[in-house]
Amino acid sequence: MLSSSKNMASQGRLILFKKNNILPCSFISNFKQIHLSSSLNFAQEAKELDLSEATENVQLEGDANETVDQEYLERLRNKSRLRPQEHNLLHGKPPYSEKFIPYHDTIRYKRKLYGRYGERSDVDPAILWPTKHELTEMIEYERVAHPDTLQIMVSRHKVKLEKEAEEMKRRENEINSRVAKLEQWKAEVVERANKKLREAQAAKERKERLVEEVRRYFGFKVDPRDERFKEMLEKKEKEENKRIKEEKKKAKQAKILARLTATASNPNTQ
Amino acid sequence: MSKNITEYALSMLRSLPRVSLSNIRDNPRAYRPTKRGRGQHGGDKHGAGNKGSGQRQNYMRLGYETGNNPFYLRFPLEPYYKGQHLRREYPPITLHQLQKLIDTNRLDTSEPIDLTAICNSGLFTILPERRQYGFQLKDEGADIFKAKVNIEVQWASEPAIAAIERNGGVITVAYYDIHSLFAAVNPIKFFRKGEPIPRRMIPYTDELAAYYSDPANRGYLADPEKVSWERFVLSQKYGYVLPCLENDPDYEMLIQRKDPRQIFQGLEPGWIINLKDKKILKPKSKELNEFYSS
Repeated sequence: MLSSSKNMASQGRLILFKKNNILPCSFISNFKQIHLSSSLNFAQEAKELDLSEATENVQLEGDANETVDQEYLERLRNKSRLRPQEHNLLHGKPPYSEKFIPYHDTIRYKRKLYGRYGERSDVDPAILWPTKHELTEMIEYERVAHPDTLQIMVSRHKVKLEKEAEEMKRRENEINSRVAKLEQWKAEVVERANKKLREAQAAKERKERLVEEVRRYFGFKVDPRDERFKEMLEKKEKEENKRIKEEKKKAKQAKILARLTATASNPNTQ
Repeated sequence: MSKNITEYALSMLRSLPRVSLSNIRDNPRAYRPTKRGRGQHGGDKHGAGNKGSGQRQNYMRLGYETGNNPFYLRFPLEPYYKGQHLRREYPPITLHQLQKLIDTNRLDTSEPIDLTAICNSGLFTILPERRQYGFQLKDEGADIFKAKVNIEVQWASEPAIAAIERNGGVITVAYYDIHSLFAAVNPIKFFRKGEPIPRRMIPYTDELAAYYSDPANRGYLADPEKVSWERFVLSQKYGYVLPCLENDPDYEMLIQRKDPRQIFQGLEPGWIINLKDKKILKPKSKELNEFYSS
């Protein structure tokens, strides 16, 4: 960068010098030499021009005194004050003709140069494709990243869908079978609640009855928290329980007896 | 004389005030002068305040609320955002919009229409970097849609397919992987990279593979015969007469399809497009040709 701008400056100075003076032919040829050697920006163009050819041109110019080197004229006409790289960009050329940062050596940069400036970029198109090594790497990557063929993927998806459908079906059947039993379960819940209520009611009535009996035994209104009352109540409850137990026992015996008599009367049924 | 002087001195001494707290001099270093601070603001705190993490400029981590239950942890999970960063997006384009593009000469119906053509209209874009995987064709405006097109989108609804086919057109849904999308959305940008055109990859998930292999979706991987059967089935379902493709004057255009590996119509994977010199470079090496044609 720095060197190129410096060169431009030196060129500019030389051009100015030339502009202000009518120069003999020999001096022009000298200048040409100096110019060629110092120009790095236009190295490409300089390459094309042979030094001997240049001197020849100049000699011709000296003779005709009207035709001037085209390049020189171009440079003379370039009053844009653009930096060389910008000037190149404006005219569709690659900005730099020399590399000066490591990025310029990369394949990526060269590919981009070719993509933008085509054959003018002087990039060998062979580097645009992956190398053999890169190709094997790419193939290996694809093999690992996408191991399955299309058919496998589609069939796997089909199996997955079938599985999901099956699961759905199973769940639906489960729900249907439960819904069929729903009314029965509802009735059971109501029955259970009623039974609980009935039992609570019966227990309450029994308690009241016992309390009433105790009161009648004492013959006057007794405080239920009284010790005597409590004692009596306990006693009554015990009696009641005993009675119930006996009743139960009797009922059981009667049942057994009935069964025995039944078996005795017709033994064939056994 | 000397006596007088002595007398005089003594008398003077007697008349002088006694030494007291009010007239004795301060002890040396009893008072310290105020310091002169250095710097623009007299050596102050430099705007960092007094005391604490503010002064020491060791700020608390973001979201920390000095022992409170932090805001960002205060609420339970938001599971509907799970995998949001991996989800694919298919920006919509309606049949109405498509008709407008055709009517305003932004799309050429004498050529197959694809993602690149729609993007080149300049009115629709796909951002592959935001996981937009292409256009989905919506059925809005299906009744006014009158164009006969050979269109390729990335997702299409059933009524949209019916609307296209009722007018004698054909539709294909095709998958583009993300690298192919970058190339397809902005071909000039891609060609200026100087890279060979990549191969279009096959779908990467089972769901996508199934979708693009399904003739009912007009998938690009489906069997063409099954697709033509599905065309008939759909016409029966929606109740229209399916125009016969074979008798169509644009038959050649309508049966054009890209290869599943192809991104651009007429350009094959592995080629390099030199826009500057208007040249196409094709690989010669056997390995490269094998790779790009596989």
